[in-house]
Amino acid sequence: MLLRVCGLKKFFPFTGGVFGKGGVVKAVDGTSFEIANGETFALVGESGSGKTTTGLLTLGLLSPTAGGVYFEGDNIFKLNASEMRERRRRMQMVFQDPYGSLNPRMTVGKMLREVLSFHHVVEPDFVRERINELLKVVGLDSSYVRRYPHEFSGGERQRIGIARAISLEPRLIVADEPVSALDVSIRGQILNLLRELQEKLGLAYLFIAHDLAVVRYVSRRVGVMYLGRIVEEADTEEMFARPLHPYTRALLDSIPVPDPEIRNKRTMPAGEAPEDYEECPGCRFYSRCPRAERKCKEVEPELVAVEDNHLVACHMASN
Amino acid sequence: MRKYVLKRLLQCIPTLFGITVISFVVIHLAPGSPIGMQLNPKVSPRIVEQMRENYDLDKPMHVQYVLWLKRLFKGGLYSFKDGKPVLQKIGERLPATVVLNVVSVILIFGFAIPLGVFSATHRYSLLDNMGTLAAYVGISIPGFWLAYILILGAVKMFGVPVLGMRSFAVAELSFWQVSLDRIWHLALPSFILAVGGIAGISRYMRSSMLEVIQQDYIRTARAKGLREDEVYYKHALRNALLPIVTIIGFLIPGLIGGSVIVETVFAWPGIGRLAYQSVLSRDYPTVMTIMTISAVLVLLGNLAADVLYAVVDPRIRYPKR
Repeated sequence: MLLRVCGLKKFFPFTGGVFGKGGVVKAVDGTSFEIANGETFALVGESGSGKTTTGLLTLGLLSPTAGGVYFEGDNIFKLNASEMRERRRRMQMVFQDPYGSLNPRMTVGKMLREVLSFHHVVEPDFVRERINELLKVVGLDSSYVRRYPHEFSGGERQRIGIARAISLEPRLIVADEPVSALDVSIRGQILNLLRELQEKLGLAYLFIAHDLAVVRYVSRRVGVMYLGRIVEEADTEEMFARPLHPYTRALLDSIPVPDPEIRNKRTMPAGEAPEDYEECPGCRFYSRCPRAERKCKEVEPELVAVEDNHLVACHMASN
Repeated sequence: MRKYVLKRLLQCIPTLFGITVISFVVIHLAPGSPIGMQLNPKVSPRIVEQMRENYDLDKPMHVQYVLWLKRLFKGGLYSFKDGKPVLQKIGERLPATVVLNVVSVILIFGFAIPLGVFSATHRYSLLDNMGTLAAYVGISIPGFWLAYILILGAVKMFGVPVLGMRSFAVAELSFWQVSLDRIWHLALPSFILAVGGIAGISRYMRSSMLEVIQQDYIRTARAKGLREDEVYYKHALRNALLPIVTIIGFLIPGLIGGSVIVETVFAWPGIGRLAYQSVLSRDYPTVMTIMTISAVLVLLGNLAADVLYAVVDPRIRYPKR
């Protein structure tokens, strides 16, 4: 396995102001998954479900409250700085916001040169050549090297972000909602580019998204996150064909269908994810679940395999 | 860019005109007259009348203004006090003021930027909180009071010379002793002049740095695997310095205009002290000339700040044509 994430937890403490009591936000609360070489694993969920935090933890950009991330067999949180730097070459990230994630005062060329020379990816004499090559791979003209980020459109910026990510020849790329900030017309291009690069370079992706249509297009396997934990995990086609968790079903039902004849059967429960769910011991989806029973209130369901390669955390799923 | 600068310069002219008119009126309305300041009250009214005529003080104010303006451009402004050409008087004082202010600007940036960066990277640590406290003290403490305290301290504890630019009778001393003497004379006034700036700009630097550190591209830089110091000094600092650099423009006026308070307290023979003395003796030509020079410098400083902004930030380009 290229990447193994085990029981990852990240709690953010908060203070309750002058009179309120403080507490913790359990952004990620026991997430585990694996990604094989050249595979795409997608994490989906509502905002606030802990997807992005999981992505940042996976790259070691945050330190976890508990749990480990095993990249190529080593727990990255146990590595020292220089070992980590060496791993960084092989695990890169594409960020959601193509506007904020590029340094406004660096030209594209400078930006790429910095990474290439910092990690000694290529000999100094070949840096320029390699930059041109990278820009070509992501579909940009090599004359763009002297331009600053503000001179590009959102799609082009995301291509620059991708060029930067692949410049180190990584084996894993964490793509945190890489297309959600883009126009629909550009999304397809960027998704195709990501797929092309995967085939060409044998990349593995941890693909974070809230858009299920996008996920279906790019990933082989999907994990559905709810309040910091994966509640269902399966191969993409299996998940779309036979969702077992009521939350997954609600998510799938919420995909708009391009046919006005079909009435949208909204099964997504009203309201948002509760913030005080930790006070009850049972299933975290209990308060919104249409199928909840007494057991669900009292016992938290484990993530178990109900079929080959199909895991779900729901008491009702197996019957 | 050139066109932009030219346009801005032209826009300065009416502003400058307004400033000179107002200052001229204000200084002339101030109680006391140049003659009363100079002469024995028992002098006969005829001589007083003669002097008023010599200084054109008998003419209406707008005529006096026009005369002053004419002389400012053509030369021929003489001090009421000693009859020397005003520009010569100012020129004699200029080097002292420039030295003092250059040193204090170096002190300001030399201390404020590292302090601000340190505070930002160690946010809410003990040292950061102490820095916050020190900055508030530094901003709110009156310069003249701190100056007297420091003079007392320096003289009593170290017995070093602090007033004026140099000690008397230094001619016989060696080069090094002379240099040391100069440095001692320079140290306190330049420090006092810099205190407010250090306190203010270090706060400015801190908040600027904190804002940049939260940006997504800093996370990008970390994800690249850069070392923490490279993330801070290469990516964050450069962006955070942007608003700070432009402040240099606002420091230019003080650089040549001098500081009235510090120069007076330390008996520093600069333009600030000259301005103070001229105001006391109602030496209108000198006061007005210094005022005009200061106004020009303030306007140029503002312009320099805007231009610097464009120079350091590639995103800002003023209309080309």
